[in-house]
Amino acid sequence: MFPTPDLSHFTRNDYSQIYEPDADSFLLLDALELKLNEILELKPLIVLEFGSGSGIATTFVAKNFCLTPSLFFAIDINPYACYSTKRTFEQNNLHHKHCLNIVQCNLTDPLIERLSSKVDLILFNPPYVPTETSDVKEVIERTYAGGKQGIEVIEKAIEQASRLLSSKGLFYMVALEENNFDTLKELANQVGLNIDIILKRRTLIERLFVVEFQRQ
Amino acid sequence: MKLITHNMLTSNILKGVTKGFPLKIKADKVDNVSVDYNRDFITRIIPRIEYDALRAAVNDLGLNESLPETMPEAVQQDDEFLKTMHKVLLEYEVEEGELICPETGRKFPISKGIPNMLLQETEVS
Repeated sequence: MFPTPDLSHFTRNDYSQIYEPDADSFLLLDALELKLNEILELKPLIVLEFGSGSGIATTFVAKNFCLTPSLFFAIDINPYACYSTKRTFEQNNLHHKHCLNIVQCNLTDPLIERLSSKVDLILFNPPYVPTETSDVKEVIERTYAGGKQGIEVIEKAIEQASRLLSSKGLFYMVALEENNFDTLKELANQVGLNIDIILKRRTLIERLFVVEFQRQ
Repeated sequence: MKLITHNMLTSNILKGVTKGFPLKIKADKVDNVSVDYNRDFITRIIPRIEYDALRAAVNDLGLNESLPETMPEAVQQDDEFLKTMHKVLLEYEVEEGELICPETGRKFPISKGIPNMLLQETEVS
């Protein structure tokens, strides 16, 4: 089992501004590790993470899944998260080997044109909690507020991923039981993607799973 | 923000923008970073680069780098070109400055090396 990336540079104060890695974050890492061989075979050149937060997932992939240098894109609407992702990448000594591009933006709006059909690996631990709306003011709320059925942001991400993915590209995403797998399947199929559950885990209050999307 | 990042950014999410590429760069602070040269990586990346946009960026930054007007035919054999591309794409970091939409003049700030491309709801097409 690969070690969890070093996050010792973060303090309590940082976690008041960015999402502190939790069961959902670690579930994504475990799911990626399950798919190690598939990902290594893919030899991902361009990797993208929606909402990178602390940068734990991007860093994990860079450290363990990319034997040769790759191009990473990490986006987040929270500027503190953008900067935190940069710090984590550097703390884990990956910035001399790999190229990390960080952009503060809404999903991949300013990148989708140029990265169309070019992304080999996409990662997303989304705001999946069912709330009244996903359009919330507080940055910390944005890390979990998923709106109706918890899928408002997820739906947009799936649509964007369908445009970004290369022909053999893979997209891994965390979801909650309440998001409803059948709904996710419908959203995926609508944009020409297949979807499979690759890992499940329960916590005290959540039933989580990780899905893998790829082009039909 | 590295120049490779800039090469992938467009402003066509803005209302009334058709192409929104390339964005103009106004750099107030540029740092040099060192990234390990990997010939294979640069060779794989080059086909994805909009070369004219890169040359425009180099010009915006006033860098003393000689990139030919057009890319050489046999890029793979041209070690000097590959090394220059590596340097230009990966080793310059715009720490502070602005990106400017070529069609609307809308400015996107760059601070601590990170471009802020967030839009107001009224700006989105």
